[in-house]
Amino acid sequence: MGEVAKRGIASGRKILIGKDQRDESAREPIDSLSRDILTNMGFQRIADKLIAGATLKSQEIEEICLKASPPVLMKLVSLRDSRRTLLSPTPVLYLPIASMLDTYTPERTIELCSAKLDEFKDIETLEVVIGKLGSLLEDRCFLEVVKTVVGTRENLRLIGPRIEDLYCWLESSRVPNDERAFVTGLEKALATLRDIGCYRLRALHVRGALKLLVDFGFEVSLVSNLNAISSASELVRELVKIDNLCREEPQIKTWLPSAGTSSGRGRYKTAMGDIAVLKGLALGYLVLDQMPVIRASSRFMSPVALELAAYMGATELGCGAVCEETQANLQFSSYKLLENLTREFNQRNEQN
Amino acid sequence: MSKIRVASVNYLCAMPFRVLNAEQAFTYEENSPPVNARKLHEREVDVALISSAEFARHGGYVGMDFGISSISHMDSLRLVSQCPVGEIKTIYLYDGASSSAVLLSLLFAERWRSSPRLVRIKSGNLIDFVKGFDAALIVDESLTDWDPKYFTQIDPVKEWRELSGKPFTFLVWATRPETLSLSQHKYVTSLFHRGIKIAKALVPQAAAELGIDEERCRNYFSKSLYYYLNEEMTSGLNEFYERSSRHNLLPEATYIGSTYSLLAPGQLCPQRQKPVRTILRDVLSGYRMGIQDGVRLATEGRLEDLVLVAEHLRRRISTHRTISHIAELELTTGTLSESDIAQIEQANQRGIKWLRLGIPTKLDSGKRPLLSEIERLLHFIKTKWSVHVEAFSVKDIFEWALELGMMPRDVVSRLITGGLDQLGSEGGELLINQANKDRVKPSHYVLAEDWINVVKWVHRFGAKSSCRLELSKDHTWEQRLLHLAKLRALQDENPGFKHLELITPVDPSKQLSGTDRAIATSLVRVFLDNIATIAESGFSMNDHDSSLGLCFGSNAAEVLYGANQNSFASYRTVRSLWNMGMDFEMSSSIVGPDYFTFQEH
Repeated sequence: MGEVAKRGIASGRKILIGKDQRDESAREPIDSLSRDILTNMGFQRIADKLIAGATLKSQEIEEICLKASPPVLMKLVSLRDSRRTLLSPTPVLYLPIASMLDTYTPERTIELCSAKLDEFKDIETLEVVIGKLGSLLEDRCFLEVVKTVVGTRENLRLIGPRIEDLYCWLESSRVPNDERAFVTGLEKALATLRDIGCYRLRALHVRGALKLLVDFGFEVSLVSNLNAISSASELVRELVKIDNLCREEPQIKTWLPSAGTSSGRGRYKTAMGDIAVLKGLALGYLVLDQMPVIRASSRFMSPVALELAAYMGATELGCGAVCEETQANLQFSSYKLLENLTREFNQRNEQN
Repeated sequence: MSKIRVASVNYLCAMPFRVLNAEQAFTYEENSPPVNARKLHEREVDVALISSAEFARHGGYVGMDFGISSISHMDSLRLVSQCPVGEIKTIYLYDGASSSAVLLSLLFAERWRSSPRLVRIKSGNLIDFVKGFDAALIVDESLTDWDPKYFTQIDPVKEWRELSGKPFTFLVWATRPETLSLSQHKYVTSLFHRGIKIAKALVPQAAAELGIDEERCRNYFSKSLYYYLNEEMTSGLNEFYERSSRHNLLPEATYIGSTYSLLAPGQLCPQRQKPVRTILRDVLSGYRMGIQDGVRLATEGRLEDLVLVAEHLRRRISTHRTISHIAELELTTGTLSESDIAQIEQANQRGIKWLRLGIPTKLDSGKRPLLSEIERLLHFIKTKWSVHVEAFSVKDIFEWALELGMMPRDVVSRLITGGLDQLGSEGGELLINQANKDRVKPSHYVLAEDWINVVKWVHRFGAKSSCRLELSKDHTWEQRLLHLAKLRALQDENPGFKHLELITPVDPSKQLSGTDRAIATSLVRVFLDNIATIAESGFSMNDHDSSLGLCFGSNAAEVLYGANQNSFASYRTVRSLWNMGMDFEMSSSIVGPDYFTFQEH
């Protein structure tokens, strides 16, 4: 409607009847109301730095970590970029190729996998997880099947196992304390993974392997386990280290916080974990300004908390399972749900 | 084409509007102004004659330029007392008093510099309450002379005129902007005009029917009452709104006449809306929010703004969140067993002061426990231990009343005299009858007005109660805010709510999304300016909603004491929140962290 004032006629006279008076202050980097509240709470200096795009000092990050409540964190996140949009989530499919080969011939396995992939032909780029590999990395038949499956369609991206699982396998299969054999084995495993089409491994807790992954050309996702971080200063050091790593290595594309506790059946999500991850996301967003993706993973968050993740700094809602089997095996929320949440957040942000 | 549902008031002064009753295009009914307002809020009628106060409280209606005003005096309305006006401590109101109640509060604040308590009486003769320092606001359309025996007899409209120099509008015809088309609006207003014109001709008939002196009746209609809201009436109405909002009696509001947009032909324009951030700033400045503004906050506001303001308000109330430890005891009979006594004893020794009793609705005999048995039970508990006893729901009160042929008020009186400190909030999840009609467990619920009336009596007799809001996908934002508005009004007139509990539906498909949950919690904080405590209850290790609720507006955690897994999980959750830096105040009456250690062993 442009800037034309809306008028009506009442009692024979023209009057202004604007339905929604545009809030001019919405165009300012920070509205006076928020400024007053943040000043009252002692965060004005930090707010000004965020608006100016300046880098926060360690002391300031620690102050935020110790004193900022979730609502304050949410506001500070919005000050860095009020027009943030969420990136699309990543559709993921779990293909248990190893167990299929236990039952079917390689040819039949390829057929079944192709048929499964065909169900999702509408999804442009699909990531595939094939589970723990370990000794299968030395199984030629298995590797050929995987290569063939990956080659059946374009834009199929294979995600390798966790580096920690590779470590466990190598430690159990090599001579103990033979470091050279361990490293050689690891390099061989990574080369094999690259050869069959892996573009990244699952998110990395163990930083020692980072350089190796980068050297082999893998895209890297870094995880910070908030449960293992006992103080604000330790968290600050972790984030600063990651920030430096990200600036040095362009292959580090993603950072995600994790929490919750592990049980015999894997991770389960706790209310404390939710709050810790939400706060972690906000701090990560405020500190890691060069990190392409700040991920909120549905593996580590309840659905309720995941819905708030975007407001707390997540730039992407991670991997979404394209079918129920994938959901059950990988503990990701459904891709459709993540797509909907992404769309709702982006629409809401656009309207505001 | 469906009929337009119209609700006028059942007063003599609304006689001109009865002309709508004869028209085929309408479904016509008459109620008191508060009932009309409720029906319009809950979309049971399309157009209603509501109090000007309710028009402001909602904020989302358009006026139709007609109502009932008085320029300088009102023959049918009086405040009477046996003491000077400045010494009045309590004013008893007729049940339908709405804008007149606000007017009285305003007059007392600005002219007589006092704030008497307002007590609404549903039935009975108000005159009987006029004694000592108690006054009554009486509406009497018999138009006889007022009894000169009263020391104070005040015409509120006359006082308003002297204060402001303007007329007073009691009632306005209101509708939602999207309800009537231009042609329908024109039709209704033409009928209003016709009704006003022929009112004079109907005076003899009305006077005869009601046994009123015809001359007085004629004067009443011609000199006391005005129906068209011209510029003078509108100015008086806006003056009333402006002064009332200054005293926090009403949300800020402006009445403008009905207008039609040139850009959206055929539709009434809504009232001018202020920017969302201005709504938030006004809340921080202490102004009360209207229902429509609340809806706009929920649907148009930025989440980060809303939660920040809610956080700021929470911190203003208190720097710390509180933990309330509640010993919950489910009785199997109407008396305490030995193990029940041991449990209460143990809890009391640990410093647990709040006892929540679950009394069975049916004993083995198939009958409800006797009220006298319960009275003895309460008396025993209160004598033996220093505890705050919470028990029963409004439904329980009604069932006892029905069984014993008593008024609910008398059941409440007996229970409180016996020792009941607090009534439970069950049954008050959403005080909108229409929304509760299709509940799965209809037996659990009572009508909204019945719930409110019982709770009023609980507060009036000096006990407390808690209220609640169920956060369900089945409800709209407007319904949630209407519910909160009722609680807020109740707390204004009869304070006694200890806290508001936020309830998550058990059915996951009805639970709100995380975003809406955060909005709802924050909205409760900014809207309910007279209930300080918003509590999250039923903590357990997997209760994500309650933990997140504490992050976004709630300021109290209710933790159940007991020797079961859920209690241990509750304590661990709350302690974890405490360890994470959540600012809980550990009440001095509760043992500290060593208690948690004891529980884990």
